[in-house]
Amino acid sequence: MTATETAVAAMWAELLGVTPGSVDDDFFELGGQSLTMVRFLARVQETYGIELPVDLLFTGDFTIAEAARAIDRGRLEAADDTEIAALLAELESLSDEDVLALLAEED
Amino acid sequence: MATMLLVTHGTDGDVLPFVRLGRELRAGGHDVTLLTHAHYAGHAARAGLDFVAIDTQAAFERTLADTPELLDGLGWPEFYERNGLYEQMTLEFGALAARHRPGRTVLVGRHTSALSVLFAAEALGAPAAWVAVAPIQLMAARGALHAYRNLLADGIVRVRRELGLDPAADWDAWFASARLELGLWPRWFDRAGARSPARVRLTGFPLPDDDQDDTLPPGLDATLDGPVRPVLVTGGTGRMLHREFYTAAVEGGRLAGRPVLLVVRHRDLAPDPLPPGVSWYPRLPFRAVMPRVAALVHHGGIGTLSRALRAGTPQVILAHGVDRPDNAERLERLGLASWLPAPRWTPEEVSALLTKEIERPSQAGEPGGPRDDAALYDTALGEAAGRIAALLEAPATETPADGIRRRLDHLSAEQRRVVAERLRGRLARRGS
Repeated sequence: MTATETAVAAMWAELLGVTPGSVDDDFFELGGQSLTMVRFLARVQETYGIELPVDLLFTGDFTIAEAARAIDRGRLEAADDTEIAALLAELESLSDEDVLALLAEED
Repeated sequence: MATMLLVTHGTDGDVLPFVRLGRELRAGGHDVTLLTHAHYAGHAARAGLDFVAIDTQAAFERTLADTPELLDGLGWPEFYERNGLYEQMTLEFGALAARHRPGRTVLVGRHTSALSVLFAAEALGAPAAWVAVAPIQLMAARGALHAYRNLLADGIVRVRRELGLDPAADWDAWFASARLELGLWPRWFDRAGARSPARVRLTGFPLPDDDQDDTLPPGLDATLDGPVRPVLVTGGTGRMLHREFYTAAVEGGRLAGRPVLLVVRHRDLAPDPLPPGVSWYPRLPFRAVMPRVAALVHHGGIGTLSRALRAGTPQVILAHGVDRPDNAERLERLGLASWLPAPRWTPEEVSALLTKEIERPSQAGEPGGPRDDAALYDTALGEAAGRIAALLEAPATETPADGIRRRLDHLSAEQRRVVAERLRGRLARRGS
């Protein structure tokens, strides 16, 4: 398994309550429902900062290998550094009160 | 005084917060009409709200009986068609339009499901608010729009045409047209899982049963004061449950050596005959009962879990479907409950978790945390009502911090940590 496949398998095990046997195991056949997929997409966003396409919810044919490929593709396409750099530049315009409020929300 | 028109769908966890919200708005001097299932007419009357039934009691029961099929693979298009949900949308729109007073009306709908509210806002030029009762509704919004646009498009376009709205309008635009989005849970619950988008205002749990009668049925006092404190089992007020839920919950409680109080409105969902040591009630006043039981085994519904948090009752959650696993996981991460997915619902596992939760030392109250936010519970709906009423005033302009918050929505946890470090560094430099 690739590192991404291993990470996906661990997420699925936690979400589905069953451990996938191979990278060809299908999310929906393992008992996943569309809202379980919503939770998987949220974890991918939280872990990798990428938003996978929402039509994955409705494909009905989604394996660990395919999920990992979609994540790896998303990471390549994501302009993470550009986004972060733009954001960090914007921070300079904030007042100290705004900064304190933002930090409180992050805790 | 403004006209507040509220539309919601679902069961107690979805409807009672709107009844309480209506009561708050009414206390603020507004005229309030609640549009929801006929089953809730009595609740609305007790809260002093005008009421429009969007169905009949029989139709509501039929729809509830259809919901388990959604867990078993029934498609949304067929569910909408056979339960008349497009016609319901048109009926809701008609009732909203009839009560609308130009410039003096706010439309408030349950997040994602109350399309009639967005359509009426579009047709009438009134401000709209969408209110979510659980985080999964916001997490799933992108998927819901995809489903509306791809699976339910025929029905929705038909409704829009009937209502005189442009059937070819931009779906992304109308789906995002609510001027206010509220989340009825506290920030600490939000931060224990996928974060809500920055545009959503969080208000705290509403404790929707807070105005109900606390009278106990005859004989229950004796059970609650008996030598072994009972376990309370409930799967909420709907029928959208895993078929094994009640058997697993009841058998887990019995194996733990506890009397079981089984609360389920639909008797046919409970084991028949009831095993020894199990008493069935169609409904109990949870505010009065929860502080007196040893623990609660439940499905993970938001109303049930927030009431248990408020009472400090140990919780074991057998979560399956809709918002429940997400709710359960948040509580488990916070050390406030244990939960099991359906493949692990054995009496042994349920019983072991009950013992663990009953023996867990109670959590010390962190300021602003789960055990120390009585104020949040008490003020949640007042804040929600205030924000809704403010929609009749000019919208606030966006600040630079709001823009930053929106951009943070799209970052990973690690990226947000980088931003937070930078912010702390900036404060330190300014302080030096």
